Amino acid sequence: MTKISENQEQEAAFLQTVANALGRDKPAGNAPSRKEAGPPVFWREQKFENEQPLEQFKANLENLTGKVMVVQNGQEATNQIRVWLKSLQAKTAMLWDHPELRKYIDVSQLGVKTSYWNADRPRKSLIETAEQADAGITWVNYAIGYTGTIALFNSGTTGRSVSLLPPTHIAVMKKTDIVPTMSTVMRDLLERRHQGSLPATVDFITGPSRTSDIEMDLSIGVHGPFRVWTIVIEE
Amino acid sequence: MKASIFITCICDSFYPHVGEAMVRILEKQGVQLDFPPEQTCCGQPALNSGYWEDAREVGESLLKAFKNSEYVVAPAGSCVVAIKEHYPRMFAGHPEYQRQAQELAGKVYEFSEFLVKVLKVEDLGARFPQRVTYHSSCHSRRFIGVDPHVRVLLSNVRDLEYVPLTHEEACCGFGGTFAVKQPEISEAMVDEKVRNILETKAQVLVGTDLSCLMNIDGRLKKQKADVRVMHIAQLLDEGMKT
Amino acid sequence: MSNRPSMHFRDRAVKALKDDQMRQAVRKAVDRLSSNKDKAAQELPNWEEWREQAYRIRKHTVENLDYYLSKLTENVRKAGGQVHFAQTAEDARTIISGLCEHYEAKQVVKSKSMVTEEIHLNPALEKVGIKVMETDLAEYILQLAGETPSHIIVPAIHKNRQQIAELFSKVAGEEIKSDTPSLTAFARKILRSSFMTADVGITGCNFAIAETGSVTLVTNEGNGRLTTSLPKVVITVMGMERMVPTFEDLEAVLSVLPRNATGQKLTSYISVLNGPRRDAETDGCEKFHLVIVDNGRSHILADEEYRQALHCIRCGACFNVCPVYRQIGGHAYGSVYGGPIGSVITPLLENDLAFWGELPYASTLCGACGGVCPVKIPLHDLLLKLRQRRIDAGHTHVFEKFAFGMWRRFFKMPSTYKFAMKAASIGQKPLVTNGYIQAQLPLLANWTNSRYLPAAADRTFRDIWEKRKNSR
Repeated sequence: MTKISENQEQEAAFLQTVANALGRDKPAGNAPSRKEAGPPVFWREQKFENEQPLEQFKANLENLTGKVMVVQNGQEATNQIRVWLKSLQAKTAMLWDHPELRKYIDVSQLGVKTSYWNADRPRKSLIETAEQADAGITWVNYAIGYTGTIALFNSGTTGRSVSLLPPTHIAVMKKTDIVPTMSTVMRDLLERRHQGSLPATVDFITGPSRTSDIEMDLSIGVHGPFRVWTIVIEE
Repeated sequence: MKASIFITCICDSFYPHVGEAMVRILEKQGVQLDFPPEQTCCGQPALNSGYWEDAREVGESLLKAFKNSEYVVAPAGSCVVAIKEHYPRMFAGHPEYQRQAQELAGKVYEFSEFLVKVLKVEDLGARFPQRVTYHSSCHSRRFIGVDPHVRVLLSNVRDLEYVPLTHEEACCGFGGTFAVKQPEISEAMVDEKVRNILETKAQVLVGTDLSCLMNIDGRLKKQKADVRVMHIAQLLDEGMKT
Repeated sequence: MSNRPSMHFRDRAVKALKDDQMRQAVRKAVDRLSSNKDKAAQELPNWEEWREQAYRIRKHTVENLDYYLSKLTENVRKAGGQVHFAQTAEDARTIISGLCEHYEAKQVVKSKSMVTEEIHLNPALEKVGIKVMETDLAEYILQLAGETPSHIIVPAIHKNRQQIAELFSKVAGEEIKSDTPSLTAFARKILRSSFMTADVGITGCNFAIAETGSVTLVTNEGNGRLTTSLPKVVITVMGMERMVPTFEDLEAVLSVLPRNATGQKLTSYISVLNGPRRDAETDGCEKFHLVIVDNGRSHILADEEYRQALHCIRCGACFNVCPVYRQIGGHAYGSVYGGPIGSVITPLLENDLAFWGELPYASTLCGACGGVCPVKIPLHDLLLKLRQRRIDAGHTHVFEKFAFGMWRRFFKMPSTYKFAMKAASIGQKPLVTNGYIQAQLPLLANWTNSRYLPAAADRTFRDIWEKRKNSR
């Protein structure tokens, strides 16, 4: 696609107006000093017990109609996914082409037709497959105990569509991927930015798609998945 | 201890017996009361409508009246809030008046606040065997925090059956000039307040602000509802007589 | 900016008060949202510290907006996106329709964005032959009904399921049942096909992040994700103040926004977009454009008294606790932004105290709004200041000015005050029955139409005190 030009005059005039409104001759160039950024101090200093993140994650996500199954190894994880897919009468599933997923999940045992999201196929084909899949299976970059959230960093082999288009989203993780609060994830994102490896999209997913727009009546599964089912591998 | 009465224009003109009740209660606690006659009105009607010039001129009467008072007690939270929240700003540009306004803001109290916070009195030995509910006036609740004082005073009244009001903190719709400038919305608001009051089956509605009470009472009477509307000073005073 | 409503506020309010269905729906919604918010605020430890921190972050951002806008722009470009600046609503419409035409867009999907309502974007796109699909369920319903939002978080709060079913059935060409699952399933199906075929996705911006050039979308339905994952071009429209400096700050504001808005710890989806997709990726957009909109915000920014109104993070909690909104709903305000925050920013964004100066009077100054604001904007105080500003600017009715002038003359001094009250007490006598005045006469009727007025006492407190003093 051709590039469209940006209007430098409009930009300069706009920023000049803002600077003037703040009582300045021209837009400030130097970073202003700040005392405290981010959450309150007590939040960053709080300590969590070992089991707390997993316990909180389970309680919070289950409260939102999600599922959290704790298993011991990849075989148990594979079995659980097979059981879930059967209960959904699923025919097809699409997976992130993620090394951890490949390591722990044996797709040949899932009882459905599977495909991976990667560069082997063109965009149209990948999106259509995801659209028609009964389930999308991803790994997680982080799970957050405090809110029952999973954080997904998207990339060429970990497409957004896998956790978005199918009606069911199954996410697999290790217990050590569960962190107490969002603070950990934010620190990681900033670090990646400094290294030039910030993902183009980071999705924080807290339960299934929902709305109360119709007479304040809760409805699950509006545009995104109806179900967020997760597996925690306690190795 | 000495204190000056700030009677407020509504109490003075429409509910003087509430003022009398307040006087009786405070004198029984050993407070020496005076009534500086220069006072007229806190100026809220004009202040809230944006007519600050007019409000200021009238508010000066209070600065004059209470210049030498140690404590000032009023049977209305909204007037106290007007002084505390707005007077310093209202008198900006008049340094001497502004100083007096700051001073007054530091020594003016709503009646129940004065009883509980200053006199440290929570139990007046009152008895009031009725079913009572409480309307929490916006300004008193949010800007002075009178609720805990009222609750503790009511909790010590013997034989009083307290029933909480749904949405007790919801504005009654008076809002000073709002009641006559947006009368339809005001009516809808006081209507909902009255519905909630009738739901409690209370015999008495108690409150700290005569403006709210006047508004709610006016609606109750129009609907021929049999609920008695009382100021907290009235209720306690009556309770002390039995 | 806003299309001016033809009626005055009071007339619009009277009309709204007659709509029983809307009022019932609004009451139900705001009660639910408020109580959810209370629970969520209690659950998070030290809620007041969070509010204080959110306030500080927003204050710092707004007071250094020029710096952070520059940083944001630089970083969006570093991430591969482009940035455009719209001083006015017309500039924004021109830029956005220009972009759509450049990309030969036939279909656009939109996720919820109040600023695009503000600039009246949809008609401008439709005028150049572009089909626009609102994808937020409530916005889709409103689009079909030809109506505007009446609440910033639950825009179609005033519509009931029968009305929604009628709208959907018309589109479907067959009857869609009015139960929630049927209605939702229909919307899901029809909008999913729009997502799959749209050329351009247009979003709002809950929070941009200056240090990385990121844009954050906070949604529950998933339409924000679909709008930004499938179309090849994404245009994010951003009110210029909707920003925080860092990722850390984002965590802080995300901890208060959903809790204050709906009582959720987090919404189902929080998407942080950092430019267009990378080369190796397949989904996500190829072109990312950020359109930064002023449209009167710099006017508010320049005014030190009202600058803090720009701290707003659009949580909607002030609507949910406003006793006036509760009775009249959102449309009566007549502007894009209603409720307490709308009553403050509309006259300022429009720079029009004469016409929009009515809105600050749509309030009893009860203070509930300021008390619930997660970034501590003293809305009730700003409303009062706007009233004063309006009077100082001379926008007042002759009669009202006269009335307060008279009031001042009599209430200034005890002697004239006593005289006035005595005169009223005597003059009222013919109207008093059983201690009350019921007559619905002119001047009194605004009160007595709905309430009895107590009669002024024969003896004022002053009289009683005088008597007591003299008898001692």
